Amino acid sequence: MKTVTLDVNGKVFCLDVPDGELLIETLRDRLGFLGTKYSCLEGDCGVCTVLADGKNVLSCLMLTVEAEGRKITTIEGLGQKDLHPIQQAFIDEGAVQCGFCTPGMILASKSLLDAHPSPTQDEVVHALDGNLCRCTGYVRIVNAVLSAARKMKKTP
Amino acid sequence: MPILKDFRYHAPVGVDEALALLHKSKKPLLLGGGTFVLNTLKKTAAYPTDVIGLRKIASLHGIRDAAKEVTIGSMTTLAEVASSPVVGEHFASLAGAAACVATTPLRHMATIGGNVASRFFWVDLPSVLMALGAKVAWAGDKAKKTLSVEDFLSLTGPEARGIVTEVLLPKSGLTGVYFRHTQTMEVDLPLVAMAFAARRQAGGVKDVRCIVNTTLSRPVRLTGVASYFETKKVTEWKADEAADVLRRDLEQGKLDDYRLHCLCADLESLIDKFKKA
Amino acid sequence: MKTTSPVGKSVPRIDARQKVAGEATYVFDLKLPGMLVGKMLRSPHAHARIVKIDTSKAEKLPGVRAVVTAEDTPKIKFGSNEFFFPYTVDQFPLEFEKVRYIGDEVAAVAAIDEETAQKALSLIDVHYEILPAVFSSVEAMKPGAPAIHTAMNNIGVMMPTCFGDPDRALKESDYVREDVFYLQSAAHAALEPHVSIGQYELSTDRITLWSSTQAPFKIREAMAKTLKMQEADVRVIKLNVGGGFGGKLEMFPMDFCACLLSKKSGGLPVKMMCNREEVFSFTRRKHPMIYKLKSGVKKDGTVTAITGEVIADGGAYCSYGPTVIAAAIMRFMMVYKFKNIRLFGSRVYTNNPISGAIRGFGGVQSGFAIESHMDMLARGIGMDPVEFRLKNATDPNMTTVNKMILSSNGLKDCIRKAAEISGWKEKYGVKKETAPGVFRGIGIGIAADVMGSKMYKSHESAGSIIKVEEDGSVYLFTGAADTGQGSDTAMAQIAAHELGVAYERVRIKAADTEITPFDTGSFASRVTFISGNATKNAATDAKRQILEVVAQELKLDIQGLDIKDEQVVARESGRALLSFDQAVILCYSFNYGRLIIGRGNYNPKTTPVDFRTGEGNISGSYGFEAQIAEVEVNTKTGQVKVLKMYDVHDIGYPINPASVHGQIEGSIVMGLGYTLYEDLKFKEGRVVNPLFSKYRIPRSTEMIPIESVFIETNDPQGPFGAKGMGEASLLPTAAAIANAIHDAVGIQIKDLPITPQKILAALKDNENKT
Repeated sequence: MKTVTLDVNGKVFCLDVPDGELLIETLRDRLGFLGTKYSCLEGDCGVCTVLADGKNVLSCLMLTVEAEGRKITTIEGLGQKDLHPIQQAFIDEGAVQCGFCTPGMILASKSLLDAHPSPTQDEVVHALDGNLCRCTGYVRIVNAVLSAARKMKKTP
Repeated sequence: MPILKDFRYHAPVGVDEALALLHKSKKPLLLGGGTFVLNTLKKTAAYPTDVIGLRKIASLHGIRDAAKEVTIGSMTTLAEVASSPVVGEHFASLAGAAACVATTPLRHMATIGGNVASRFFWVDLPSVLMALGAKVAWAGDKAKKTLSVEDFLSLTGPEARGIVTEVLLPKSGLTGVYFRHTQTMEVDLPLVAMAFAARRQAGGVKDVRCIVNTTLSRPVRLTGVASYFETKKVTEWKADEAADVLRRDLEQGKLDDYRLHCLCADLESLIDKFKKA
Repeated sequence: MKTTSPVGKSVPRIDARQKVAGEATYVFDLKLPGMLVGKMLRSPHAHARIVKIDTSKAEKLPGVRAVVTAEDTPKIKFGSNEFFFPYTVDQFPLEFEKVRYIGDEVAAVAAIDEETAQKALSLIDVHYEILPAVFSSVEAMKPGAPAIHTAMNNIGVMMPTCFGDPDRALKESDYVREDVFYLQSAAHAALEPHVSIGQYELSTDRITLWSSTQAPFKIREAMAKTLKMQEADVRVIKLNVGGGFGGKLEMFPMDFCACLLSKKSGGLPVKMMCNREEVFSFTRRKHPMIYKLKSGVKKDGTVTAITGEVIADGGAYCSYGPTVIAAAIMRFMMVYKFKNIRLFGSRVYTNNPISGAIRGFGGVQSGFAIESHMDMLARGIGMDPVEFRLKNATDPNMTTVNKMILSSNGLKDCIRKAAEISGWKEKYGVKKETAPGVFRGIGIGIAADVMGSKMYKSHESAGSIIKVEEDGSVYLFTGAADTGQGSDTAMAQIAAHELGVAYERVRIKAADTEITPFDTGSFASRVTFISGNATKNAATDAKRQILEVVAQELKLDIQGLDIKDEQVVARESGRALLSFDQAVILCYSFNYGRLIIGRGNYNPKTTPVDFRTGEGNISGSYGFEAQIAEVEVNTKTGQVKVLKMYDVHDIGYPINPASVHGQIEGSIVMGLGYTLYEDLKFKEGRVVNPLFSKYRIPRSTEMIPIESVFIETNDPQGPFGAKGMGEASLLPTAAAIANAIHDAVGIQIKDLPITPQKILAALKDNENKT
């Protein structure tokens, strides 16, 4: 067991966790952040995506003890009452179908747009290569990211 | 839940501390980025007693640009290698190879050290590093050494117990190219790959390295192909001749037709590229 | 935001906000107090007799609250196509006589945590007597093959169809072709795994089951049957579902055991979930098929006869076998005006995992075979494939050879439009080498879709209820199950439009068997058409109830009133008389005290399929489409790149254009996966690649440009003229790509997936021939 201090969505949590606990377990089972889901537990589907210091990573492949010292952002941290432009763009562009991949996709998009505010379509496509979607065929998701990028440029 | 069985986790802050932990743990496991290790742990019965995380060792992070070489800390992520201006300038083929390993989130977590130290046959970077004449700085149980990638990969058993601390790339003015083939899609593991590097010199090339990753064995150095390219002028290079030499070089490997076919197609592209430049 | 008259508009999905905020609840997320972890004990053998099951050690393990086997059940079989095919009822929720595939369910445990449950499984002793197994459909049909059920030659379902005089027609042909097509198995790969939570109320013997499902009413029916309960005592609740695609269309032993374990553990809720490997290995898969065709054509392009055989590997149990084999044989009869057909379909039992429903049912497999074959026939007489399709395609207002009644039919318009927007004339048959060894080609595939099919019950009814509260809040209760395709949104749009109020006013409660009216489920692209009509009828009823009160109060004729843009209006003049809210208050007011509860029901005029002949008007309407693929083939590496897909769809009328386009795009990319990347492989009855790392579904990097266009035929039966959409765009994709490859490099690949190795081998073959 280790006592860890986690910074999740700007809030600080002090927890006792087993050394072998994965971040996805801590987020869902201890902290109640159910927006982050999982689908393969192998790093292939991207459904468990969270941001660590702004970069999208897979919470099923990160020990909670190693998440200490990093700023972790889950989908709840992006916006629930007031939506982030990326979340709004996903709604407006019809990029949400079953919704299981959606939190991960949105966070992966945020990671991209924070580093590259004006990505090309190709850059968006490659930035999302770690997030599977079986419903949409990705078309509207990519459109949503490009639309969000345009809107975010207009309102700095 | 819990997904993993329990173990003792350590976060040493120095290499010697990490080595001491390695030495005294009953069944230790080193943890770099976690993308290989944590995945395998979910399926394996051979559980470690201690997991030694390398994150907090400052000397393992960072890319250092010196006059004659570039040093990449073993805990540098593949995303950092891919986007580093230093690596991009001197070793474009390495940056390119790092950029096409797996997927974006995995590249944010996986490390160059992990990729090399995994000793999996299907990883991308070892063959590229071999082509670029890279060396591996390695802190072993008994000694600290700098080895060629080839020598590092052939360490086995208790000899192999240690930590990769840095990857050193000599600035030799090499032009590198990396070819990678998958069975299905871009993010797939490679089926077969070829890393090539050479120094252009007056209508020809010198110092040629042609390394093939069959993904069925350790990377293979194609001496025949290297010699072919070195001894002929670029204008004299012929794809079918080079292909014949390649097949001879790989005779022992008993590769399937498709892999050989891909490699021959790569040679054709390579010759085209050098002829155009 | 007030969107009135929302039908035809791409309004935001009704559940999108919760989903982007991470607040949408899936059964995956649900936790109940005292919840136990359930785990399933599955057979490690592909075929074995169960001699003895000893659970005593497992029961004694501390932390174990219940262990169940078939002995805890009434031992009643269930099947998914039961109503019309009683002989396909072949599965016990827990087996006790025989196991027939690796993964067959034998026992289940509920414990306080996962580790204990896992340990308990290992303590259950099952004594098996291993039987010889058979893994090939062809081998399984041979005399002497191991008998898996009692079906003779292991043929679980047979569908012999014969129309006209195919033999004579073949003799009269100018060109005859014989080909065999091989279709591989595939997985649904929905991102939310299968998950169930069962809770038993001991004092009343009632069950509540939360399940990630497309068909809660189907589960209710099967549970009631297998537990000898009344349906009123079984409540099945669907929450948000992370994708279904046909893989969650029936009761799974996991649903059953979650409830049974709850009962045995004293009423504690029990959660059972499949991990990714288990979803791939033990739920459902696509029927691999061998599709043999021998067809003839006249010089003028008229197809004379289609004959052949379809052999589908059904795996260990029947599941939706009849529907799949019916679709495999009947789908193309909606597309083409063929008169002479003889196709014999066999769905064969093997000791492989269960083949079931998957998007398109058997239509994907038949789509590939038939559409490839059509191109080959066209080439045989030197006819352009687009012209060939137009020559043989069905028309509006006709009855097909197997008695399907086509009313609105935009197929020919779809074909012409697709040819137009893709530049077919300029591209087909023109050799185009865009880089050394890289060639471009273009190919077409066409398809038709049903809107439901009468294969499950005597009726195919769906029902909806709309209640309007005193403050004007509108609640819609519908049995339709949204698994991401957007049915909740479409239903809300239809309700709002018909009722005359804004879309944003409607709240929806769907797919809870205790609260919402009956609905067979989300499959066969039926929801917009069938459930949509029920919802429209419910809205019409609610509107009538409101207008009755208004008419009475204002002493006007109800025929002259309507509700539009949230106003009660005089129909002829359009003059607003009072607002919707005022009208509602009026209904509830002292003089009237009238609750507004609109009810709607819709049962399409269809007939069941007669499996002796293949005849039956299975759907209330039919959708049509044409798809054209542009590809690039690299003859040096064998790689195929799909440059663009053109999809023209007779959608009747799109309730929500963005949703329809979204379904089309998703289907095309799924079809792309099936054509080039996906291959669920088996060895001795075990799935060899049950992981996303080994079973490759398309990623963003495989996304292709898609031009999706609608043809609006305004179906006379559909709500606001709409037809359903969910599967059709998956059907012709593989053939369109295979045909395009032929146009590019002169080879026709007849087995999927199309790999670089197959391309290179075929090119080499071609070279050797010439």
